[in-house]
Amino acid sequence: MTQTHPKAPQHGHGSAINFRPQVKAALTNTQLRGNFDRAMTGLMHKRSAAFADWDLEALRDLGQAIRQQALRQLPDLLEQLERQCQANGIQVHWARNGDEACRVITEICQQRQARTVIKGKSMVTEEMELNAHLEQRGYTVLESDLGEYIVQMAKETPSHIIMPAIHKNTAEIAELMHTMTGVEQREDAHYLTDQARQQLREKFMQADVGISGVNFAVADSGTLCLVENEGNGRLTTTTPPCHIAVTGIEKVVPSLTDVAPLLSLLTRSATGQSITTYVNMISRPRQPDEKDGPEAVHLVLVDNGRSDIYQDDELAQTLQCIRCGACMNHCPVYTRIGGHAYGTTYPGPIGQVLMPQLLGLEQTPDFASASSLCGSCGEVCPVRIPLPSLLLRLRREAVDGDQTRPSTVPGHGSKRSGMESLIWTFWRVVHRHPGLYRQTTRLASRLRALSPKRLGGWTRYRTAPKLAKTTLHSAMNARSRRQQP
Amino acid sequence: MSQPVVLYPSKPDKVYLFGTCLVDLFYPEAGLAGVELLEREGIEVIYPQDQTCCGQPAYTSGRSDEARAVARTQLDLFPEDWPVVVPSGSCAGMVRHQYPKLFAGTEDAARAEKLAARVWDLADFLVNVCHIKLADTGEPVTIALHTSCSSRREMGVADSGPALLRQLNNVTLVEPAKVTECCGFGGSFAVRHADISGAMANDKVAALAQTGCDRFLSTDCGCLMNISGVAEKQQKALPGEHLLSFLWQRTQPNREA
Amino acid sequence: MTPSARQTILSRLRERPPLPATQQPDFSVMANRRWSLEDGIERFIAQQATVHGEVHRVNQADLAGAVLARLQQANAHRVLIAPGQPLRDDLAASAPEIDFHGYDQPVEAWQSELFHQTDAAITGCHAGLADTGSLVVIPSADEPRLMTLAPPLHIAILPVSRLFSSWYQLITEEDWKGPMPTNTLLISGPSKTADIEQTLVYGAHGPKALTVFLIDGL
Repeated sequence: MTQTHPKAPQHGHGSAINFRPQVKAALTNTQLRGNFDRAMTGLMHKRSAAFADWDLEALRDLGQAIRQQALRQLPDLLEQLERQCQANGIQVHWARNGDEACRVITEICQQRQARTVIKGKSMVTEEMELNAHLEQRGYTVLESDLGEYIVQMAKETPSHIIMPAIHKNTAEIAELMHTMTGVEQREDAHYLTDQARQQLREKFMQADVGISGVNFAVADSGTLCLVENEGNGRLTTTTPPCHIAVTGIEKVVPSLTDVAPLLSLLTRSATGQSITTYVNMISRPRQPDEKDGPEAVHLVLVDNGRSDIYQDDELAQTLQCIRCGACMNHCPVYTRIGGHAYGTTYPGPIGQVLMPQLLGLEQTPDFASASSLCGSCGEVCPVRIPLPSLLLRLRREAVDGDQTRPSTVPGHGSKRSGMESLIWTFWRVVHRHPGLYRQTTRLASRLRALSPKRLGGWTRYRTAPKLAKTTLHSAMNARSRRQQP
Repeated sequence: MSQPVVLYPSKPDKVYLFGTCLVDLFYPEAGLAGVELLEREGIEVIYPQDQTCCGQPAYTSGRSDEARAVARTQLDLFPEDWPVVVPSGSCAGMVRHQYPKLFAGTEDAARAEKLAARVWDLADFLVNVCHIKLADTGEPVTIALHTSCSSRREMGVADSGPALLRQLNNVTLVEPAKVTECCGFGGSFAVRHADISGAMANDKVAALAQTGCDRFLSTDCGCLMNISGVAEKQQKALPGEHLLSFLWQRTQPNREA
Repeated sequence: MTPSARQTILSRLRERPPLPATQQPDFSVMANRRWSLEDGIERFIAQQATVHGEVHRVNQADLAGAVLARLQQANAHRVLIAPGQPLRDDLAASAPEIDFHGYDQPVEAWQSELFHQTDAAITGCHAGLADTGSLVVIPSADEPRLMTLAPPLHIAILPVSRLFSSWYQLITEEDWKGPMPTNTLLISGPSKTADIEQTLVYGAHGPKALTVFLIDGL
């Protein structure tokens, strides 16, 4: 039996994300809750087993140090990467934002007179809604990662950055593939995977352009590293005559020596694998004596808000992210509402930190507050991004009273309301004056019979808290008087 | 940077108790139990009457100015160089780890750092500073413990609760599924995102009930209030209690004696 | 003239003073992951097993027979092998029923045949990595990229002397800096996916099986 999921929402620019209704829908969808709960529980166990024979804290220190050093030298590394790639025969393009990146990619496709484009998994192209852009211009675009293939067939967006179709179970996928491609409706992952393999092999051979993401871009050798299990990434970057790699500007590291520890962290944090099936390092287009590989390789370096985030010492840590997804796998909020409820490219804790900085706090008014600050995300982040601290920082930005203070976060101060400010002023006055505090709390204890039985959202799930007969202040006061002679 | 190694002080003659506002209003018996336990260890407990709140509610709501104003009044209350013990992981964490950030760059920075460095979670203090020995005088009972996320991740003292309970011969400690998962409290989160918080709290109650425990304990009053409130609303027989209250009651001399 | 995207991005990044200094990376946690040769072999085999790879330890003298047995087990009829691969003549002589041929023309000329009618490929490797049970493969004119990807069975030949503890050890000892080959691969097991409800399925888009012959004494 299958239930329909809320359709993956798209956020139009300028309109706030419909987080709350999407959360409500997700929480009541027992199928979805079960799918995420099972998957995330398994992933947490696998991750912890995968690091069992490592000094994990030392490795995380190293991962953090590498990423921070790389960011510190970011403009220099980008220039070095560009130089080295060009020397290797890779054409390098720069794009200030998603639209510009889409235009660059479209122009390459036009020049090649391409008709069909095959894609490997790439979150940055989700960020810029590249597929829609290309389809509007008449190109056939096909996702080749199995999860992405499924999500594309369902006309949805990924619900997880590593496992795009994690929200669906086998029955739902069998039904979808049957409807969309005419294969038998068999609830058998082996059968369904094999059908997809056959369908996609034909497409790989026909595609004019392959578009992929990049996990790490190595500056000193001009190498693009792609990490994957299926082989679709290798096919995407080998079979079509033209390969376009798209990456955020923050993904650059100085050398391959830096990739080794980051890779150890990435695959173990993401899926609990000690390594993925393939680590694919691409350094140049096909050479004259070579018999396969694309004759043209392009690298598109996309900013899309990153250089703004870069301006703030604390928030720049957001850019350390290597996109492993461990923060979402371990997040009790993500586990319960799933990736689509967020309605943004990146869900979970990293999404809650990154998206308000990219889209603005008005568009994502509930993101920073939708966390119990339990600290799980910060505890597992392989590069030690202090996610809980950054969520707190965004909460401060949201209610910042000084609109004139320069901030890299768009929409800072947008959540400050007069009513809330009044409440906090009252709270401050009471708690800054011990005498007033004691009187107020003593009075509250005496009048506890009058305390409300319904307290908004709290009592939707709980009984109201019961005030004690006496406060600790009174009890300790009485105690010390008793003890005095 | 990885967490630095914690250096515990030797057992002092006196400590300050920072009671926290939740204990003050809702669970004073937990604070009193902490006092009794410390006094039984030969430590005098000073309770400054002018304490109010650590400032956490405002701090986690992004209201740093208000949080700092309230926190600043606490800075003056603990003038001697005695340890400050707190019967709640999250308030201890606020002072120990967040005060230095909250006051960074202000004229109170040094005072805040000094106070932060001598703040301890009370249960952790009993284990690692007092080296407390507990003798169980209660009937056999099965207990599940919910350690707060602040105790576990911010303060790094998740071992202290089990270490204390294991000393009690008649207590069987059972572990709920997903023991490290948050109960969904999160301060204002429970109100601002009531449905997500409610879903988390429901799952926590189910996991605790699943253990078949007679009661559950918590190291934090926020979690206690949250979990007990859900259990009560669902009319589940899952009574909850603060760890310190339980420890004190279990170690009273036998009535016959 | 409006500034280019490149200029805009780089100057924005350079607008601010450098980010605060941070600790220097300490690579000892990577460098310390070392195994003796025998332990390394054991770990390599164990790690391959966890990724569904198969390792056979053989002497050079027994290699051709062992490879042939594996091909027969897979019922392979058309097998890719580089012309310079020393094994080729032995194999061809002892199994005339199998069609051994090289990847000797650009893929465009025979793509469909490569994808649909090739049963196995036999390749060498640059190195093996004990830590993760990985093969380091550097495709070449004779052993191109798709050779280790398109056929359903990949057989790799790895001399024991080319076994390293980890990728980090290999990179540092061979000083992988500056220009790199067109393509370099770490391959760990056959291709796989778990995108359908976390069910692990081998043979997603690439090989369904990977067999490594680890040659002693070489």
